[in-house]
Amino acid sequence: MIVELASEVIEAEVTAAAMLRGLAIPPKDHAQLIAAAQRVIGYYQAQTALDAVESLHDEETALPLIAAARTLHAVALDMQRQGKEEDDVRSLLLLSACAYAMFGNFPSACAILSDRAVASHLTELEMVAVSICMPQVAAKNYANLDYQAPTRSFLQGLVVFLTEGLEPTTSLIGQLETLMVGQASIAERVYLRCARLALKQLQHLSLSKYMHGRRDPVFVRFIQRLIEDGRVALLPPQLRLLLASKFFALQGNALLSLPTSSGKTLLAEFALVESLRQQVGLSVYLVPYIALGNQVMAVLKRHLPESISLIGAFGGYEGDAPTVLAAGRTILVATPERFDLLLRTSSIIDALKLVIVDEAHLLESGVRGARLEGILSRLLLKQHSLPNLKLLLVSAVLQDITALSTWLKIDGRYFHDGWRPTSRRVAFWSQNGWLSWLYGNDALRPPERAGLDTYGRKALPLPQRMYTPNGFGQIAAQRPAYYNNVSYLARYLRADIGGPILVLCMTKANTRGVANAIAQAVQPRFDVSPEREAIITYIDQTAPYLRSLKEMVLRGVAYHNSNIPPRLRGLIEAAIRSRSIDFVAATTTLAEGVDLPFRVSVLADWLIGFKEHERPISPLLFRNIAGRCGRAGEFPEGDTIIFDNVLGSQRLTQDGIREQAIASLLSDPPPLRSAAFDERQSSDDQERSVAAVASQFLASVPEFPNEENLANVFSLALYASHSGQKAASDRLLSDVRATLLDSSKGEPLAVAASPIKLTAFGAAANKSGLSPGTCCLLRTFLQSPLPPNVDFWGFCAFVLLGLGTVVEQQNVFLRQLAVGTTPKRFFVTPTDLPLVIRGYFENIPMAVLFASLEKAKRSKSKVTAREFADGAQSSDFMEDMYDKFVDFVEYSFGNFLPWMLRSCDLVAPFGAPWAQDYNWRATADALGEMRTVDRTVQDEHLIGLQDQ
Amino acid sequence: MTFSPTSNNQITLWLSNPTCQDAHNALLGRLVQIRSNFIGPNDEPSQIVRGNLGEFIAMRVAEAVIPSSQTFAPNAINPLNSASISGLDLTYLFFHQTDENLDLAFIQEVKTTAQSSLAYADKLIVDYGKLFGTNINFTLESRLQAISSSLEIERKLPALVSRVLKLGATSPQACSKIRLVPTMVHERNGTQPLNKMVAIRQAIASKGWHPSTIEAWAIALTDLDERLTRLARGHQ
Repeated sequence: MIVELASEVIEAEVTAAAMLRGLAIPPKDHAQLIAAAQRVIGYYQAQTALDAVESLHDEETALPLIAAARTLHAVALDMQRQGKEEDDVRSLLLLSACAYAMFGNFPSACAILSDRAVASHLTELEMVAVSICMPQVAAKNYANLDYQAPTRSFLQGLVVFLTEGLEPTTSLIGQLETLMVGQASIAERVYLRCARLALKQLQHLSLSKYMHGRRDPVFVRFIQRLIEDGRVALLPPQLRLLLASKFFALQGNALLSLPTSSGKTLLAEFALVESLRQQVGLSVYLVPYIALGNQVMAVLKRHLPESISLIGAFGGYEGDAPTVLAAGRTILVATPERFDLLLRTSSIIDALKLVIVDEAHLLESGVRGARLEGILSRLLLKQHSLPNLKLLLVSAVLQDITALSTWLKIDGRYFHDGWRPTSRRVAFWSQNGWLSWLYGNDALRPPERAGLDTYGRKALPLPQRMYTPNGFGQIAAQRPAYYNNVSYLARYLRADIGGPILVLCMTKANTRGVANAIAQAVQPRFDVSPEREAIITYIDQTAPYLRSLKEMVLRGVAYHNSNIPPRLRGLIEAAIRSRSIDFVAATTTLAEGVDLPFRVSVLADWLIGFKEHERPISPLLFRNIAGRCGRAGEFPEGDTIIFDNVLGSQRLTQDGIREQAIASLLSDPPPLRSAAFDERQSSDDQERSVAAVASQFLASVPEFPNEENLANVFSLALYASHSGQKAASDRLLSDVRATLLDSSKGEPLAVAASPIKLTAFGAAANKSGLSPGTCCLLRTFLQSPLPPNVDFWGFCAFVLLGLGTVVEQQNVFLRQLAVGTTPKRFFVTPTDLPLVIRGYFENIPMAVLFASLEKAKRSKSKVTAREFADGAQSSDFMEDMYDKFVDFVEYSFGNFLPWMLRSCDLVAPFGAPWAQDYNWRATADALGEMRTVDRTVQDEHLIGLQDQ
Repeated sequence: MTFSPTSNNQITLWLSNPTCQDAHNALLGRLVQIRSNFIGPNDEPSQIVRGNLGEFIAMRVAEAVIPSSQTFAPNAINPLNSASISGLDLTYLFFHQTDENLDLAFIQEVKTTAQSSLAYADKLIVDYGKLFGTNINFTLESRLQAISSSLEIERKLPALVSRVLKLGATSPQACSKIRLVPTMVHERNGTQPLNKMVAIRQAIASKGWHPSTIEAWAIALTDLDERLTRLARGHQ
């Protein structure tokens, strides 16, 4: 019987989803879909399911129930959209939430119950069901003294159980069963009958129960703080991993792979606390992005027991290493660079207990990936002498981990689970005007269907025709059509599915263009929003040149990229969280790893990179982007729509080729590649990645003073050697070793004293984080004469221009200025530099600085730089120039210059007398105190988004 | 039996036997027997109580003819209770002793009207429509699930729950184990119940129910309005 019902409800789910999206399929009556869902729910309410709640944590077993929950939700939304009876909609939403909770998916239940349409006018018994399915509100509901005694008694028992793990004398289930009959209406009986199984799930998944019986104060306090923060229940995969595997007491390195929103961070928190539970020491949580680091810090601050210290250290090598005391229990949240600095400049490595690497798939991502590979290789080698040190790599998107497992010696400690709290839906809007929804890798996909098969489509003609361009001119000419088409799609999706909508673009200009096109087509929002008001006030008072953004915000639209002042970005994020913004066009820095409540994401650009390095984004990045919408607890599902964008190199965008390339985004990601040897990168990026590995080898020399054949050992420790590139790795390390030993330009960085040892120069250079080649260039620079009559700011410009060609430097305009060429379509000249640096550090508004540039003043643009800066006129050209200016300034002055100054401080003893006498550190410190630097530009450089 | 049937093409007209007052007396006797909380001699019964009394009358008739292993009639069992549980009128479950395939559920929706037009009874069409509707409070599956809770928790018969769930279906057409008994309790004088119930039955069938699963009833009493008041007061 249940088999027949299962196929019926799975079919109903596809139909309901398609109807909600207005697809051309044979429609079914809402009532019939509801009946199919209710039939299935009825079976799972039975006593037998109560005795086997854990079996429902398996998606295969729970598939019919998952389908039933989704069907009810889709039908409710479809009815809501059609203006059907509000009370019917509310009831269906409530029942859908109960159904989600029945298989332990409390985040989705919570997402539905957070809807105002459900939360209003709840009866007393409905409130009981809500308190179970959304347990974080149980205490709040108990505070309502109007409820009758049996209800209050149950709620009291529930609250005590969730907090302390203690069951009341009369069991909670028994009390609930009393409420299930009596005077309850039919609907209330149905909700409570569902809620009974949900309560069983809650009892199974509750954190308080997990704490019960434990005497360890660190662990108990950790659980208490989680509960205080509203984390009362684990997700099924979390429980499975914590209880039924070796995850909790790691005996070696491990890999954790769970889909987005499945609770990786909480598991990582458990691992961190466990690593320090019975011993003092340092455990580290590495984050690839500063924005993600801030988010993790905020979470850990709320959760960690008071006996564990928390330190955050974000940024590159331009700052100081974090200060970590060896005594006590400490958790460091850091970017790889800051952690690397700590390893190079302290002996804290001996205190390391656990290093967690979040978003570990970024191992294959450019220079930071190469650097991370090197750091992990050093730690792997260190494990020979530090057997208590463990590594835990965490990712949502890893598929083939064979090479990773060998590299890390995972030995069976691969913890993975496919359970997802939210369903992921993927669609494709083609140039021929069809919006097609794909099965993707959804749990309910019929076995006979492939991920790229469509389950429904609808005609949605592009408002403006586009064609495969032949050259940049045709790309530029079609940009307005592109903006308008994406705007149309975003507005259609918001009306049809709901918002907020995130439109992902690969350039800042596109974020502005798309946002502007959307804003032109929507009406102003008249509701009161303090968050929107705050944005408008900021722009009026601090950034008048963002007048166009202000106009957009009034209509519930914004763009978000690194050229928006950090404070304003924060305000926009707050407005997104409060749902005061309906549409955001953003670069992927907003999307990478940070939790914001988007219902739908639109991938407006699927190509990344420039000129010959233009390529489709990787399947890994696509998965991560798709994971940004439909956050657990906010929505029960998320839709990602890929726009069939033809703008790009013809070799990629021709008909036939384009479709295949876009389809490749949806394929299973291949095994990770070693970033150091990834030929897909530009030659500059490849050079930087190699330099990063070289720098890591330099760092390994003092760490392994007794290793006779360090180059070979280090090469073997690299991931590259385990992913088919051992020969290349050996060659690279051999070359790096030769560079270290090269004495042709003076004292070498190291001497081959068997084993290899750093010289005094090498030891100093090592603390800079630079590659050996750059360290030597730095010394050459410091040995060169100081130009006469330079003031403080002129000196900063001298340093920038003198070192602007080193491989680690990433801004193409600074590189051009450093080699003496005049960049085209760029306003800064070498003579401007001292004044601009001064203005930057004296916190003169960026737009004012921009308008003061001589080339900007002389520009023959219709809109002058001054008019643009004052917000009097908008201009695409000026905005483009301004983007480049901000990129240049933030990166060169805020990030690169401090790194170079601190590196000079280290290497100065090997320079000319003036260099030895100069107080480099004081300069770096002074600049650091003058301005709070926006370090998120580093994030964009990591992804390769810098507009150049 | 205080009512006698006259059947015609699955329409059953129930007339009191031998007189309406005899039927009244028998109904009153039952109300006394179950210790009903009668209203005061000068009080007027609420519409809810009138409706409950109609269900009570229908249940008393059904008890004699509908094969029921388990009856669910929260309002009819205690009709003078002014509270009414919405969505659950009368449901009779028949569990076959040896063959589960022969299990049946009889769903009796009741409308009570003293008006000569009998128009109020048309609401039966709406009520049965809700069995496959979008309001969770009235769907067939909701009703079966609520009954399952009663069987399991109140009547301690959990083994029957799986059989209850098998009675349902996802459309009227697929409901082979459901029988509908649309029932009108009406004023006997000056009314045409047969035509009304023929039309109502046809209308329900038009929603997809197989005609053989629908048996419509009309239960007639003279001076119905005044009689319901007397019953509520405990008067003969």
